[in-house]
Amino acid sequence: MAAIKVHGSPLSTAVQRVVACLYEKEVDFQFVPINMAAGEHKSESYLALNPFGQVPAFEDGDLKLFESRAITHYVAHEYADKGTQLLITGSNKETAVRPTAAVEENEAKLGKVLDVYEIRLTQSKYLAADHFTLADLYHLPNLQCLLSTSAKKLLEARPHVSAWVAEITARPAWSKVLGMQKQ
Amino acid sequence: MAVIKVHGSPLSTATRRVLACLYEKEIDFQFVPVNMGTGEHKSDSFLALNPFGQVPAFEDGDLKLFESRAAANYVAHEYADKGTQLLIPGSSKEAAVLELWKEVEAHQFNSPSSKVVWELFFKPFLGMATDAAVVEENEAQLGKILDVYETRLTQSKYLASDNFTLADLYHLSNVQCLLATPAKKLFESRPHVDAWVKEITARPAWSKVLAMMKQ
Repeated sequence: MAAIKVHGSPLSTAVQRVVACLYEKEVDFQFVPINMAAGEHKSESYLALNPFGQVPAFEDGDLKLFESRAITHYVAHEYADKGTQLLITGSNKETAVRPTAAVEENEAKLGKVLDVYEIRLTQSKYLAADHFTLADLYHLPNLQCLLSTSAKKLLEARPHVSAWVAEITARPAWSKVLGMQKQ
Repeated sequence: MAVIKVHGSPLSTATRRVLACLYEKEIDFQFVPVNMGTGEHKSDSFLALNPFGQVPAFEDGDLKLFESRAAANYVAHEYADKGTQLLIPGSSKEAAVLELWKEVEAHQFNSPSSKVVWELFFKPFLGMATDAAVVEENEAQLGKILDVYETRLTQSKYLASDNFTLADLYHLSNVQCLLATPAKKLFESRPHVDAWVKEITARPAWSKVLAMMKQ
């Protein structure tokens, strides 16, 4: 039985972020569905896993974590030798380009943010390096949602952003995440 | 010799976050003031350092960064052997709890605390009117988050471990502003949070950051 457990809902973008990472790393895990409609994420037993009452919660043996980026950061480091390399190896200067939350908070200013991405993606094949890393992975859940709304025009209007979105959403590991929604 | 530069304003909570880290690590740096009153942070030369037009921007030799937490995290790793140990050394499993509480600061604490700081601290300073509804909503949310902190701080002296780490340091800027507003009651009514706030804001490195305001 897998020592890794992910508690959550396949519809949650934060859960998708963690599951995408586990699929990229080709690490076995057990998915424990949480019935959010029934308020299970606010139950005493769930709050013991995530005191903020949010999904996902994560276990690897006796290690318990929450916050999707903390979880993916742990997985990417602990299983660095497995599956896709999601980190940038090298000196601290080479690895210093890190994903952050502030960009996601600027949803209202998405067009301006994407203008910055458009320039970045003329200099670099992916956001942080010339290979796919955690920085790109973190964007997948929200980008996927945007693609099914009228906001996709913001992506389509920027050729390098559009190409990057098409690349990363076509990754096999991401298709597996989307496949979980149909179960 | 590589020179570390921080471009920003001593009033900016994000700038202070990076400065706090540099003082904790006892590293020399050059502070380059950015005049936000005249819109210098939107100038072409500044946008070359931070395309989002926000302070701070950071340089270490040829490395250029923005986002205060990315810069502080880089400093904590690159200069791990100097000054205060801000990381948790050891295995990925041992270090994971630090990442967790760094994320809690960024995703849970930052948004409501920043909104309260803007309404109760910066708006009066700028002669603007406070929106009481925004304050009420965000103080309520912040209270729930601090309830989780209160429980956590009964189990651990600081957020991620029994030592001061980056996770605690990231909170300093907003905590300091909140202490100067009526929202400080949110800390005072939670004994472990209150003790933690007093501990971390009394650190000598933080006092140096605050002293920059007087220059």
